[in-house]
Amino acid sequence: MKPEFDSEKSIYLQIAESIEDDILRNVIEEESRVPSTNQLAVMYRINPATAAKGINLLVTEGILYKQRGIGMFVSTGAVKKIRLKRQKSFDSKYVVPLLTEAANLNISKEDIIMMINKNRKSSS
Amino acid sequence: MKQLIMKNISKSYGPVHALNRVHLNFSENGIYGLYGRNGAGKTTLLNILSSRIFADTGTVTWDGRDVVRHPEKIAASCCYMPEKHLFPGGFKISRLLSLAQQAFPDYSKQTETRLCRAFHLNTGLRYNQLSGGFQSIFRIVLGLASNAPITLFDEPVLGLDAVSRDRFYQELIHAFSEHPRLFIISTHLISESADLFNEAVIIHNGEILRQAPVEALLSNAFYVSGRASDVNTFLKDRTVLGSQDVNDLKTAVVEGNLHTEKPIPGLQFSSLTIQKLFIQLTADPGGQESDHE
Repeated sequence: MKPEFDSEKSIYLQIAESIEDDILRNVIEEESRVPSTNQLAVMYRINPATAAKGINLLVTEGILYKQRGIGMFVSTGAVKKIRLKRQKSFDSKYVVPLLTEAANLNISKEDIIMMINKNRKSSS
Repeated sequence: MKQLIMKNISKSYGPVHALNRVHLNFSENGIYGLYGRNGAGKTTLLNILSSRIFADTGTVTWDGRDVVRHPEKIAASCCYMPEKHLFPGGFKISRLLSLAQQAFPDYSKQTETRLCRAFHLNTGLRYNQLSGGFQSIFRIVLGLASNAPITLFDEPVLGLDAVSRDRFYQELIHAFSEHPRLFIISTHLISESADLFNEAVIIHNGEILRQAPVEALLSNAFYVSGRASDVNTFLKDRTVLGSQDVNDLKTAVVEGNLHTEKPIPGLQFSSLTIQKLFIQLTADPGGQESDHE
C-alpha cells in the first residue's frame, strides 16, 4: 500500500490503484485477503465512505470479491484483468504526455526511439 | 435515519449578526467538518446545536423533535466539547472523567483508559494545571469516550502538536467505524482534516456558503492560467471566484468542472485544493493581491 496520497487525484481512485499495484506486483496474491474498508480508513485517516468507494470500484470490475462476514478477497484472474485494463490506457497515460513534452523540447521521433532501444537493452 | 436539522436559524449579539437564516442537515451517521474564518459563526452554531444558547429565530430538531421544547432529548444525546471550557478548573481530570461517565449512558471507560495512555494524559492533575495542548487532549478523550450519538468538537486540535493531531484523526476514524454516530468538528486546519469528513460546511459572515462532500466542492471549481488576454477571453460569461495577475500573466479560479473542459491552446487548467477553495470563497474582495505592487 502507498504510504501517502497526492492531492492531484481523488483519494478513492488512489486507494483502488494502490491495491491494483500490489496485486500486479504480487504483493497481494490472488485469492488472498485485502485490508477492510475500516482498516484502510484508520490507516489513511480518511472517511470510511471514501475507502468503501475505492474498494467497491474494484468489486464492480471483478478484481475483488466480498465474502460475507470474512472480508474482501482478490479474484482469480485479477492480475490479467488489471493488465488488460492498464494496457488500454497506456497510450493516453504515458505515450501522449511523453510526446507532448518531447515536442516542447524539440526531441525528434528518431531520438525517442533511440532512447527506448538503449533503455530496453540495459534493463533486459 | 435520524437527522439533526437547523431551520432558518438567526442569532444576533446586539448589533452583530452572528448567524443569518442558517439551514443545515446532519445525518446521524456522518463526520462533518465546519470551516469558517475567525468570527464566521462556527462557535455560535455549535452552541445553538447543543442548546448551550438559544437562537433568536428558527428551530433545531433531532429525530423530528424540537430540542428547545424537549431538552431531555438533546441532553442525553449530545456531547459538546467547546473550545472555551466550563469545567471547574480545580477538579482533577479523573473526577471530571467520572462525572462524564455518569452523564453519558454509552460512556466507555475502556476507551477513556486507552486514550489517556495513548495521549499521555495525566489524570491525577487538576484541569487548570494542564497546558493548552493537554486541555485539548482532555476534551478529545472525553468526547470520544462519551459515545454520544451527537458529538460536537469546537477546534479540538487547537494547540496540539503534529503527532497528537494525527493520533486524534486516527482515533476519530476508529471511533466512528466501531460505533457510527454524528460528529461535527470545527477546525482551521483545512488541508489536513478534509479527508476525514463525509461533508464539509463552509460558513462565512453568519451564512452557509456550501454544504457538500469535499470531492463535490472541488469538482465545481478549477484554476485557469495563461496570458491575461487569453484568460480574460475564457472568463467571459463564467463565474469567477478570484484571480491574480503577475505582469501580463493571469491565474483565475472559475466555477465549473475541470474534467468537462476541452483543452484550449495557451491555457492551462488545474485543480484546487480545498484550502485554496476556502480562501477564494471567504477572502476579502481584492484582498489577496493588494499591497504588493
